[in-house]
Amino acid sequence: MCEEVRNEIKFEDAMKRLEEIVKSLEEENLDLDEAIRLYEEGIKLSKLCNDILRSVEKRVVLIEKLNGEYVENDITNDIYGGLGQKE
Amino acid sequence: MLFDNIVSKKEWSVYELTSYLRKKVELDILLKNIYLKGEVIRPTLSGEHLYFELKDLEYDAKVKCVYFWFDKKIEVRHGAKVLVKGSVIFYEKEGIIEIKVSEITDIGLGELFVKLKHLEEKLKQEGLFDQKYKKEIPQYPKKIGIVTSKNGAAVRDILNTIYSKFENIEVYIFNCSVQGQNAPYEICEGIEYFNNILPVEVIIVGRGGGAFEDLMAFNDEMVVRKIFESKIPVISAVGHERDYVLTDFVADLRAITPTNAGEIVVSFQNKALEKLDEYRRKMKNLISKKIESSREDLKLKLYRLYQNSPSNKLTKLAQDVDLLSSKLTFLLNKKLHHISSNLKILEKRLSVSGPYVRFTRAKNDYEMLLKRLNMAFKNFWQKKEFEFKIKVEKLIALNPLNILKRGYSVTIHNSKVLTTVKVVSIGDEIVTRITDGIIKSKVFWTEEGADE
Repeated sequence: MCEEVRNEIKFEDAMKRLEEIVKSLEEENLDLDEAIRLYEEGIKLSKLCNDILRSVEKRVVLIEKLNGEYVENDITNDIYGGLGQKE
Repeated sequence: MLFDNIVSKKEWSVYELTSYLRKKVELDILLKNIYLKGEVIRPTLSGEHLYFELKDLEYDAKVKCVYFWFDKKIEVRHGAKVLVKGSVIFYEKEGIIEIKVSEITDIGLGELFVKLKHLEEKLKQEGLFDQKYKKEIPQYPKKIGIVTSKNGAAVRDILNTIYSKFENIEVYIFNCSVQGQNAPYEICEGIEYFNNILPVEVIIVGRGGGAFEDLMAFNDEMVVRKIFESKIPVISAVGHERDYVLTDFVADLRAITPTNAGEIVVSFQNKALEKLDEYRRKMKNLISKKIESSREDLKLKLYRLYQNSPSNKLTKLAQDVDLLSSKLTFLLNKKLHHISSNLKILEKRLSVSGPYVRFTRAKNDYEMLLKRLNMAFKNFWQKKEFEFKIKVEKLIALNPLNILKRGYSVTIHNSKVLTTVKVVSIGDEIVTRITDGIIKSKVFWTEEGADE
């Protein structure tokens, strides 16, 4: 949780920084070295953000109380099998 | 106004009175958020607002009501017995009391509803709905808890919405009843489970739409308080847009439908993905453009360098020389051409006025003059000849010899015709010519003046 919160802040910052990088790259009088440096940073950041966004795989878990016990069932591959259709 | 400065007023203006009353009414706490029972009289919709009168159910009393930004989906019939929530306002322009309605409920639901309203008011007073307690909903949650029935439409709506927009997320569904006696307890259990056993970043508490009574679990005081106590941010997602329950007020965020709750929890991640794609594309394009333009720049610089290189300078100079020499040739040719044409003109002019021509002309002149000379001479000659002839004839006429014939003679002395005696001496020979010959004589004597 703590880790993830830190990640989240990092993620937001990374997105902000990315936006800045794109803006800087749009500058006409930016020299090539700087542009390449920025581009590399941007690619790294976008990879980082992408990793964060994809750090978790799709997963659906159903928690039910059966006989006074909580039971967790992974129903990712059969969502609607795990979720009844009747109201 | 002049009146403002007078301490004790003798007379009021109408406006002063009505605005005074308005202030009085506005300041009265008892007149805020009151519940009024009554019968709806002549409801009329004007634009976005509903106007009607509320008539007392027992006595003959009426009050004007206005419901601003009225939701047209709600049906308000003439004669309907309703419970109205609203505040009393004094309309200063008309000098009348009006109820500014915020809610309108069919009274058919009776006591339950009134109780609910009282609960709402109580919880509100306690501050459970205060904005200051609202926790921020995480924008990039990776783990989501849902407290709802596994058999309801809500859970499917939420899952479908989430996974259609964003795949990389974990969803934990706590199955519970959402209506009936046990529902409030089970809902509370779910909220506790996520708070204590299975940490998630955000909890969605909800169900699909239904009749007012079906939604009562979400109006339960215990549930409301449990949501308030939750350390994890809670999204309330109950029924349709028009259904309002107390969990909506206490939750950190109200989703208008379960589907909407699904949208909320992934909207940022979904947008972030799109943004990431966009940033990547933009960065690629921009760097490509930059490289391209740098390349162009380099080309240009190389070209200019080449242009200014010594060998190129030489080539250029050679080219210049070529150019200049061809120019020179051209100009020379032009000049020559010009001169030669001038020459031709001069030749022409010369041929007209040259020595040969002049000679010819002189020769002609000479010949002409010669002719004229000859002519003149001839004329002169003929004239002289003619004159001579005449003279000859004269001469012939005057011939002394002819005179001799008539008997005259001529005496010659010393080869001279003798015209005087003075020259003759005695003894001199003289010759006398007569017509048919001569006579020589000797002088014997002379005498002057021997005229007869």
